[in-house]
Amino acid sequence: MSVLEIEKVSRWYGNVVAVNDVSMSIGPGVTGLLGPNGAGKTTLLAMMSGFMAPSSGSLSLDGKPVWHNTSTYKTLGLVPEREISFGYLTGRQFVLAKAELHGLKDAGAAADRALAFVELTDAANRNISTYSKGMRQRAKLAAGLVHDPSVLLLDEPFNGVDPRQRLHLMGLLTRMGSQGRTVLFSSHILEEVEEIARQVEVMVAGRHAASGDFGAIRRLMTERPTQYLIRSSADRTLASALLALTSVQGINLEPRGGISVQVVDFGAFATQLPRLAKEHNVSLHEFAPSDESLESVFNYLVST
Amino acid sequence: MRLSARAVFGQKRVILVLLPPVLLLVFSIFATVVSPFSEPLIEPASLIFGMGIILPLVALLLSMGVLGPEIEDGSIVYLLATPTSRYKIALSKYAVAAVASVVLGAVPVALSVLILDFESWGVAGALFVGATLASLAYCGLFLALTSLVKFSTIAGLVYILILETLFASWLTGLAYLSVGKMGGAIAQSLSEDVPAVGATINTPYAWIGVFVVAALGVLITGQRLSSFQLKGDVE
Repeated sequence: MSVLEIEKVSRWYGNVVAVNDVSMSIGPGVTGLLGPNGAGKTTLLAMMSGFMAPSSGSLSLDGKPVWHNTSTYKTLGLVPEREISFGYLTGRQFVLAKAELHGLKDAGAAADRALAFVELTDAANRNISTYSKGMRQRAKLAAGLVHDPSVLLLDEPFNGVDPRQRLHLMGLLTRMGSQGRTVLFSSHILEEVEEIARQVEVMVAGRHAASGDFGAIRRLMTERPTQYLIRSSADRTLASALLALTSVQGINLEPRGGISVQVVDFGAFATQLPRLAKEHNVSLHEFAPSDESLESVFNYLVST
Repeated sequence: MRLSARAVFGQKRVILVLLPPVLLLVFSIFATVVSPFSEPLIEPASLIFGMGIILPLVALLLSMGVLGPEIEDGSIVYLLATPTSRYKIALSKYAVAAVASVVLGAVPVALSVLILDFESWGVAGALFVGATLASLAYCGLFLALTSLVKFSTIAGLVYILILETLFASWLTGLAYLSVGKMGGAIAQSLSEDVPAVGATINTPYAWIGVFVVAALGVLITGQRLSSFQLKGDVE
């Protein structure tokens, strides 16, 4: 059982702040680090795995600092996003080299065990350059867990992996989580995180936007006010009428015509809008959500 | 260590590394065929071309080959995400580069002497020792350079071409900074028949110098590796 403690960590590159005052505690089980691209997930993972010094704040694994502490890697495994560039090695050679670098007593057996766990035994003697994306990802996973670490960090492990392989990988992570390991993986895809992570940490624009079990995060996301764009025959008339509704939080007149409406309770709004339009004799031309992108979901989370 | 050996020899890059020594040997054979016997060939061919250009070039290509690409594409993290000492990793990288440089750099230099004049075993032996020790220092120097700066190829070439071949040949002060000069001084101390080229440096300094450069190179590399930072998504 290992706990990764992150305290008031910031990291900046020149003028750009990549990670901004983040504090979290990652314990046993599977945790998802969710956030759009460029949110600072990779930077945070690099700091967690001791491959980057925080500009301020501290990171520790079971009370010991991670940065400049080589012994961390006895208990920590890392699966970087970076492709394996050792394409000229076979999967087994790669995992075995890793086992030897860890100074394991029986490196050969450890390598075979790790390869068997990710179900790569059949392809273990082929060159990595012949592997599919999913197989490479599994080879990386095998190399990351060959020394039986209690903490495993994975950076975008499902990126570019086909659905069947993804399911397989997810199963592996879940199994490791239930073994009592601390598993943390980053992703920018909501559904992936929802699938396997019990605990979710959301990062947006370098900040720690939300934290909790998936239900709480999902509720935050679905109950947020959403923007809709409405075009009608008489925008201003409709706008003034809509303001009376409690399901509406705000209205903007769009410079290019139409109104954008902020809705809090979509169920109520959906029944009220047509009735209101009919009462005021306004015909509706267009009704569309204008911010369904994940980015806006994240942005909302930041502001709460 | 086996990984770094493979990194050098497992790929097409190996052709590039083989080119300079082959060039030196071909050049030496060609020179013996076309030149009259009386002309002194060992100085321009084995010393200036072999020791001065080919040897450092081979060491540069090999030292960069064992570390450069891995740092560049970040795959060095696979080696570093282990409790292995960073100095041990640096040392194993160094060992691969150094052994390969001796085989591909120092051996061809000695061979070229023998091709030019089969009688000069003394000169060949002295040059082999000088070139071997110079390779050890070169590899340390270039390995550290690779771990320190981004454009290590250019930095390395600038060192070889400008400091070593241009300035150090004529300015005694700068000659003390030249690994090639150290190798030359060692060779001269072993055989009186080894001709001196340009400025010379004192022998004990050269003997100590090569080992200091080699050791410092490995230490600096290890130091740099322990502070290796992975590039994030914000550049």
